[in-house]
Amino acid sequence: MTQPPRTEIDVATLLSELESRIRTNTTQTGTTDALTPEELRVLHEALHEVELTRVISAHWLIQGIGVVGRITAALQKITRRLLRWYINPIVEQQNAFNDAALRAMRLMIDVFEEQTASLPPPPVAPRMAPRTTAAITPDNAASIQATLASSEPTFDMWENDLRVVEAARAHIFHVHAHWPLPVERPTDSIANIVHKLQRRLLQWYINPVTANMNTCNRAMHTGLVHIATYLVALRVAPPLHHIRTRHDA
Amino acid sequence: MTPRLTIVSTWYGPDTAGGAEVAARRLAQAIHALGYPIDVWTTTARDAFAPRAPYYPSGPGTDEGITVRRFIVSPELEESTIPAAAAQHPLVQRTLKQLNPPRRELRVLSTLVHSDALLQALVAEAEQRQYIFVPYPLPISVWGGMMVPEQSYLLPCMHDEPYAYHHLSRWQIQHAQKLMANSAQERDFLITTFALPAERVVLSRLGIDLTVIGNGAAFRDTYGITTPMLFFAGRRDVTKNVPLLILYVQEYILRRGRLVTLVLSGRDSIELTSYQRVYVRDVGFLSEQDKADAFAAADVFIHAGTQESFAFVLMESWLQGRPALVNRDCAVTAGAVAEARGGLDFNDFASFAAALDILLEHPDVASSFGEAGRDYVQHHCRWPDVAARVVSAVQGE
Repeated sequence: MTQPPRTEIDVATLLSELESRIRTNTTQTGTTDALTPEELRVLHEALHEVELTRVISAHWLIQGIGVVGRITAALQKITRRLLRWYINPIVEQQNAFNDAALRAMRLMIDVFEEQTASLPPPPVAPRMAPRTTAAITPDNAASIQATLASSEPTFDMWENDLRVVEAARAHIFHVHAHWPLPVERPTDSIANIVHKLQRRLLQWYINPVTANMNTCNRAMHTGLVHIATYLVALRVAPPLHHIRTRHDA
Repeated sequence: MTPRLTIVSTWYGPDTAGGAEVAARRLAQAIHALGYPIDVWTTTARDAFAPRAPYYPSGPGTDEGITVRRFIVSPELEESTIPAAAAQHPLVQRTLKQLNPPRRELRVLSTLVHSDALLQALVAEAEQRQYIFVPYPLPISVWGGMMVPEQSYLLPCMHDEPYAYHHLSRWQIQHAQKLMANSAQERDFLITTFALPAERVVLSRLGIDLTVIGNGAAFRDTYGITTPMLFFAGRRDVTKNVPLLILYVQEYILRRGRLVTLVLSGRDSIELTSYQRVYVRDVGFLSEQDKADAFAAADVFIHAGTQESFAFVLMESWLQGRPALVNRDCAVTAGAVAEARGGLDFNDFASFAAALDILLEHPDVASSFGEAGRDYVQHHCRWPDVAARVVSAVQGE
């Protein structure tokens, strides 16, 4: 199999750049910050965690103590070498994805920062309905509500869409190597015994890889959730603080 | 001898939260107040929001004059297995063989709190008792109903949700002696979904305490609320559409340029960002009086959830004379609002914003809705009437 080309990027520099952009942007948002210092600290930590965990390895240290241990370790090394053609491309694909995901995070922040800069300021005077001349009573309220609603500009719910990443945690951010083996035909029970044996014999090899992937996935998920919060904050925090200040005054 | 009425609820007690569990406790108290003998069987666990470790002491005890027998919670089951007490029961064995329920149904049930001791007691005392299981989708109700079908009555607290379509739920609903519906919409749903004869589903409704008087000014003073106030009470999660509600309120503020405060009350924790805290106030779990004060303080009570069989909080809000804004996709709350003429409903941001415009800018209209809601509650939510309907349904009196 031809292995996919590995994109080389300096992730540490990228992350440091990203953090510095976030910090700079936050202090440039006007009278108030998009996020509090504590929230920013959490975001920075989440991004660091992505960096620390993003490289998946299929070559964990194999050590054997005593004669039996050394023989076992030698057999494991041979097995790993024999299965390298099979496992390593999978791991490399995952690493390529992780790099791409990090690039996507950077792009998201770029795009949102740019868009936020061009947003109009919040309305200065309240734009409160009714935009109708009809007298409202309990009897006609529902029909007037429908009339008013028809003139309300569409709400595109992009913020809600961003939250999908948060809701998806349980479903797509966890990798299993030990899923239930189904029994749909009588022969499946025999096959499953063999599969369970194979799984047990290879768990020293596969389990650390999936554990590594899950650590990375958790970090990636947390990073995405915090970035989503930051992106929303860029748009909504300054006008909200502005409206609050105006109300308090 | 008339069999003794026994309410069977997985969770029950003064510190127990949850709509169905609160309903079970208030129903027991109302039946007791009418002078009918009633017992409650439950577990030692507190509620769905707490670990299954014992919270209440096991054994017999009393709560507000009612005998409450608490059974210890059994250890967690292995995935997709069923409680030992049920697995050994011939009716359960036969029914499972006929039904052959999908594994996923058993998997869900196996993760929930159960008590083998309670299930065994159901069978041991079946001759002397009539059991009212509350609510339907928990292991004690499912397996208990299967073990003693002839003594099983059900207060299902059901709405249109995935559990309702489980094979086991269908069996349970179709084999209960009678079902008590909390609302006309729930009754219609039960009859049409499970092809039940109308006489098997009694519209018993639920009641609320009609004597509570809220002090809105006190609540606003305590929490320093100086803006128009929107109030939600309940579980603050996606099942009640709370994230969507927060998003809608935020967008409303941004579009109108005017601050309103969304007050959220509930037992579960909720994470808010700093910008959400500009307009959202988390007041946590409120006592009954504080909650009444909050209802009275609110300009609008909002209930965005779609999965309800009754919605106590809607009725409690109306009791304080406040208008409601509910989700049009919830047959029960939208149906109640239409029947009571107690507010407006919404099904997207535009209708949500338009409703708030009307209710916040026209206090006279809002007050009229609130008054109509109060009349509805005072007519429909009297506990003695509810208790009499339940006793009549179960004991034919």
